[in-house]
Formats: sequence, C-alpha cells, structure tokens
Amino acid sequence: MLLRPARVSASEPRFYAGALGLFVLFTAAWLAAWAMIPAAVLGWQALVITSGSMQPTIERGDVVVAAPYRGEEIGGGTVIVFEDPGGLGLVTHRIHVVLDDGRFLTKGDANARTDSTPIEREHIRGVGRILVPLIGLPSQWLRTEPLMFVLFAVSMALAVYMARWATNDAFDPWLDDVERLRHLRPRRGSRRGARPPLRHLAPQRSALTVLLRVGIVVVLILAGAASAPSRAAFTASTTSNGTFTADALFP
Amino acid sequence: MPSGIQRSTIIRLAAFGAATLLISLLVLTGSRAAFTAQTNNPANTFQAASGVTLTDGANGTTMFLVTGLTPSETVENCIDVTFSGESVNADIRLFSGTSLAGTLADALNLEVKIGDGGGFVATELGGGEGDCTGFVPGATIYSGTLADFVATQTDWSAAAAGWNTSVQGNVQTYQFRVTMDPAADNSYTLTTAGPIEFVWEARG
Repeated sequence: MLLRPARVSASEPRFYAGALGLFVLFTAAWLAAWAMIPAAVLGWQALVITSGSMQPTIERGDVVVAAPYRGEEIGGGTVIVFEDPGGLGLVTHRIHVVLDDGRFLTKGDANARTDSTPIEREHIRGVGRILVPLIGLPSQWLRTEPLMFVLFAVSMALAVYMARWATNDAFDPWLDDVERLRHLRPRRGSRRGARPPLRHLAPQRSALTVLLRVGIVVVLILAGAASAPSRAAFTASTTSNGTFTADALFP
Repeated sequence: MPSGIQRSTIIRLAAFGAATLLISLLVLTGSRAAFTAQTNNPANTFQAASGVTLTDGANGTTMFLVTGLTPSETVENCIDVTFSGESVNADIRLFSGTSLAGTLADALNLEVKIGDGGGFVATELGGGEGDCTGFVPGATIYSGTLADFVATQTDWSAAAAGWNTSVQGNVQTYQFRVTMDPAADNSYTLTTAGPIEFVWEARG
C-alpha cells in the first residue's frame, strides 16, 4: 500500500532539538536529585546559599547539602553551617581557626576578616558535604527577580514541549510511515472515518510522560524553595584606636 | 527499519548520559573544591570584587592620642565610615577589639553618636585629626564608661545596632566624646586607658 507523505513530518533536526529538550530535563532532574535525595534518605539538610561571601567556591543560588553535626572532630578548613550568634539565621562559613577553648573562628572565603564572634560547638548545625550548583536560583528569582523567573519558566516549558520530539515515535525520522502511523491519532475535529488521511492525524499524547516532564520542572523549583536559606554572610570591618593618659597632677 | 529504531534510542540514551555525566562532574568537583578541608585557607588571597568593604577616614590610624587628661575635661573626635561593595543590606556595628581597657577607663565616660557631616583627616605623621565641624548628631549608640564599653561591646553580636545600609558609598560619621569623671581622685594620676581598638563591622 502506498502512503502519501505524512502531514506529521519527521525531520532529523527536529528530533535533535527534541533530544536537546530531553537533555535539559535530565539535567534538571539530576540537580534536583542531588539536592533532595541525600536530604530525604540520610536526613541531611539542604540549604540555599543566599549571599556570596563564600565565592568563588560557593556561589549564590547553590545548594549546600550538610550532614548533621554530631560532635565529631572538625578542623580548620571545614565548611560548617551554624546559627548566627547575632540572630540572623543560618550562616555557611569555613572554619578558620580552632581556638584553644574548643570554639571555632569562622570566615567567609570572600571576606577579608574572620567573623568576630567565635562559634560554640552546640551552635553548629551541619558540615557541608555536597555542593549542588544553580538549583537554588529559581526560588531566589521567584522572590527577588520575577523577570528572570518568568524567563526560566518559559525556557523550561519549551524544554518540556520540545522533549516530545525525541520521545514520541510519531516524530522519529528513522521510522517509516507505517510505523509512525501507529503512533498517530485523529486530529481533534476531523471526521471519524475508517482510515482518515494522514494529514488529519496528530501525534498521540501520553498524559503520563507530559506529567512526568512537568513534574521534573516543578521538583526543580521546589528543590530550591524547600531548602532552608543560609546566608554566606559578608563581613567587613575597619578599625581605629585611642589611648588616653591622665595628667600627673589634677587641679 | 530496525537500525532506525536503534538510532533514535541511542540519541535518547546519549542525552541522558550527557546530563548524568555533566551534573555528576559538576557536583563532585564542586563539592571537592568547597568542602575538602584546607588548613591553609587559599581564600585569604582572594578578594571578591563583589564583597563588602568598610573604610574609615582614619584608615587604621589612631583616632585619639590624648595625654594630660584632668577631671571634667572632654575630648571629642569625629570619624567618617564608608560602606561599599555588594548591595546587601548590611548591619554595621561598632565594638571594641581590645579586651584590656586599662585603669583610667573606669574614670572615662564615652558617648558615641551617629550622624552626618564632619570626619577624619589623616596627617602625614601617621596620625590624624578628627573634625566635628558640621556634624549633625543622630542616635546615641553608646553611653557609659570606657571600661564598660570594652567589657560589654565585645563583638558584633554584642554591639548596639545603629546603621543599616545597602547603598554603595553610604557614609556615616561617628562622634566620640570622652569625658573624664569630675569626681576622679588622685589615684588616677598618670594612669592610662588603651590603646583601645574601635572596630566597625558590617554584616550582610
């Protein structure tokens, strides 16, 4: 039986574009997995870094997954998450020096000076273990830069839409028409006939795969939003001094 | 066409494999770089261009070098502090970087006010001179003996809040007035307070 060229053409470039969309979704899924699975399975804590004092190693929008601190020996150089003595929430900084009394002097990598208040052991909440780049950005954008968030949402929606070009066999350019026909369904509004012409056929949609893809994106956004914010606080300081001496004779 | 089926499957698997490889490498190398314990913190040499800096007009030099104080005598100085760097909402506080105040500190009353105008002019001899001309006082952030200042305002968390800014180049002037207790007796003759380090720290 001779088939006319299908209305639903299957071009190779479109398949590759679909593969790109698929790649973006897999990337997003992996980022979300790294941020969420250690937290869910091991009970670790995921923290979105909201400021940049740990640059260049930890950027704003990265997620630090921290293992709970159980009093083990930790030394200089360890990145810890602690409660800010000034009551500003959780801070992620590096231990600069362990003091003789067992407290820790901490410092942000980008800060010139150490934090002024030494940290007690009981204020340490966790020890940095896994650094997941970028994943906290969408939730940050949602709060501070709506335009960036819209851009992000649009590109993710595009990736979800494009991904079907690589997953739906109706678009597979290396299948012949007979094979592809099996993955087509009548277009909405076309008359039901024994066998509608190909131009009245559209690719079959699987609600499950669409849900799965949208799910990945939602999880990606939530992964950042669900993580507790932790500031990598900037500190800077300047000093001056004074010396006062009393007179030898008071009047 | 069986080879065709294989081809599309291979491309799908390649997309999955590339994403897996990319993210695993990013996470593993990033975690290693950030969390491997380093006793010698390399970041000391790294000055983030986007960080926060705080500078004062005295630029690390001495604000007060006063001798021959007698009871009731008042000395004052003004010093300008500039915030610059990343536009984070910084909370800037003043505290003591010194833990030993010295005998005379008990007999000295310190009052610190934040305001606008006036400032510190550094001289070539390494010292400088505060100039309170044009100073418009705002809030008083500390009032008490110098000994108490050293004992209580020990670090940023313990210090009084007084200045919040996210504005680049925002300047505030701090006025220090030190008055010797009129009731100070002769036991204080030739005693000394300091050198006391005044530290401004910005956190954001």
